[in-house]
Amino acid sequence: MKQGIRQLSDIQIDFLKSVSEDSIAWQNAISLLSSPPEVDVGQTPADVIFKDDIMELLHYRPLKDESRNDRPPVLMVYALINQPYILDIEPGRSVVESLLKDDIDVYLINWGNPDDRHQFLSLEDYVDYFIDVCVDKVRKASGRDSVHILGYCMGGTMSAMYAALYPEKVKSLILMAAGLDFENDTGTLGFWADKEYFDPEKVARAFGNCPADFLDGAYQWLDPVGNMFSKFKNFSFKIDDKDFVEMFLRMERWIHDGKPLPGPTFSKFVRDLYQENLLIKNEFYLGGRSVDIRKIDMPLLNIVGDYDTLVPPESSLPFNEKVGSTDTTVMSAPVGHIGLSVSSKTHQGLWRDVARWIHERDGPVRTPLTSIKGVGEKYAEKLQKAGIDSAEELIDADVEQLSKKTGIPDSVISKWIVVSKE
Amino acid sequence: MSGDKSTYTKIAKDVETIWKNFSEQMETYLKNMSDENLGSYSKLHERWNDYRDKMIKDLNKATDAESADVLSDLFTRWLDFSNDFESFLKSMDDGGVYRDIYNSFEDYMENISGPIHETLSLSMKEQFKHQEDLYSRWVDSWAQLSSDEDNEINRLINELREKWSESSLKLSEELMRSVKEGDVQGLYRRMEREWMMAASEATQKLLLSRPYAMAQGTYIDNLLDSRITQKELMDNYLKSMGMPTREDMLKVYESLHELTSRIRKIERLLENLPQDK
Repeated sequence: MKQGIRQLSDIQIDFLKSVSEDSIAWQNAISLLSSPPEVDVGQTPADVIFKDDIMELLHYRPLKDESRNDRPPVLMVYALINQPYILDIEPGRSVVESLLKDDIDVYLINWGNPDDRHQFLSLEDYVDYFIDVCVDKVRKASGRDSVHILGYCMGGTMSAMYAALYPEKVKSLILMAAGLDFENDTGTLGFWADKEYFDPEKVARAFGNCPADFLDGAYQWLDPVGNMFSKFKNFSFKIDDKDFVEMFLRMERWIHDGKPLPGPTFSKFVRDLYQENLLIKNEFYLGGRSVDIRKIDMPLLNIVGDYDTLVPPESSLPFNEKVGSTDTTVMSAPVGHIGLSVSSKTHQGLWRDVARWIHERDGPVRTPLTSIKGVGEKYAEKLQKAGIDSAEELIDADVEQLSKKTGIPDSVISKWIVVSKE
Repeated sequence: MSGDKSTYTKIAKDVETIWKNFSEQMETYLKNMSDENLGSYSKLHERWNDYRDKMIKDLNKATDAESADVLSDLFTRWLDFSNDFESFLKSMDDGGVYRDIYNSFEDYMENISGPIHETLSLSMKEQFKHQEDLYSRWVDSWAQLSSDEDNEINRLINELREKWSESSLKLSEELMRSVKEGDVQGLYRRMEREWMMAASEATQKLLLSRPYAMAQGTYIDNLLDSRITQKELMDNYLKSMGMPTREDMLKVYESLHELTSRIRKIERLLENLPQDK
């Protein structure tokens, strides 16, 4: 009898201990999150190579041999509503770093934070001007006629529009968790955005720019138990794990670092895509021009997260069947929307596969003739008539024969060859 | 975009039209400012006049332009102006004109009486009444949903409660078993996990229901209505005080955006002109 009482008492103590431990963990978690320490994000070194108003184009420094010019150039286009440093959240979980390690030449558009002055920016401004000008800058910097574009989330949808408008400038199109087909499963957000319940133009009328808090609130409410309770509970248990805590704080910083979205862009995106699904129906127009996705004839890679509830795979994958390209690939990982870029698992497997896919589609390097010092449009035309289309072909050419065919002195051609080799 | 004369002329004409609109709005904007508010901006006004005159001259030239040089020069000038104008806008955002306006609004509330005060009081009363109405409508819509026993939200909430009881029952059974086995810590963790999963599942079902989406839609709609009304009332007040309104400022921003877009097109045209070395 006495033993029994003592045993029950131990269990009670054990139970109370658990509750008390949890309570202490909660208190510690609250105390840490009330004044969180600073955490670094976007640590991979980069240079700003172009700037227009609040937008800037970043070029990441190579990790290895800087003089190589055969690395495939990839322009990353992220969503307008969050900060792009999610693609470079911390070393070891950075898409930028993973691609650099696999010899990809990485560029990224940082859209900047719009204020009142930018509330008239339209989707046309973003796709037809900002992305296009950045693509041209990357083409120039890399000496390529066309570049690979990697669009993530809303940036993927905009990249698809761009590729349909300017297929000749896109070497391959990589879409990552991009909403493209809004007919069937569009997730909770798509359900709430139905025209029966929601008028996007009214948001633009009320606020000008759709405020970051408005969007942030909607995202938090997609999974209230997870976002407001489970996440913090889990955090409180792991508060002594330094790496976990740092990553948690980085993610929290990113989640609450949203950006307002200019009114016309917000309303067109919600109305024409979420509500009318015009892009995949080939009925989408931008600045009066039809965005015909059948013109997407370059290799297409569609990357989806199996557990993505924000952009479920069902709203990305049907796109592959509708484009003009015959080279379409799907890659997936057992992660959610954000996990695609920050999960350590994807950096061990998925991103190596993506880099390999890009290298396979990049083909041999073809440096334009006009990038050779001394070769202008007229000389380039003469060389092209003689069958020389790139600096690489010029290096291998027979100088004497080429001189005869083009009428250009062989001393001049030899000089160009020396310059090309350099 | 080709680089022939008609293209230049078309762009230049477009720019001219937008510039003229912008210019007129800017004039109105500056005129609408009371002398007191204009104060430190009088220099900017002078600079504005200089720019306007120069730009109009250049635009006249650009309309007949046959080469890219004139447009290029126009672009340089635009950049100069743009920098200055940006500083001006920034000074407003940093608490320049709008700070004055709001200070004056506060003073007005405290000190001034008379017919405008009456109008304003009425406006404010209307505003409060409007907000009260919106709130009542919002409460009513929820009350209506809650009073109907058959409605789906109630059904889902009840389902959530049932799930809750089910998992509580299951957990107390497990508790008894675990007490016997002495694994209380394990049970505690499992209990919490189960609770979170049950809560999450039930909440998701609620959030993805049509009545919830409708109620949320109504709430957002009311919120936006209230925001739009507030803006209108504030603009009416500013207008009655002889001050530039938020709407005036928006027109300036809009013109600035259109102008910037056209200028960007010119810049892209110049960049893409074929150039031989």
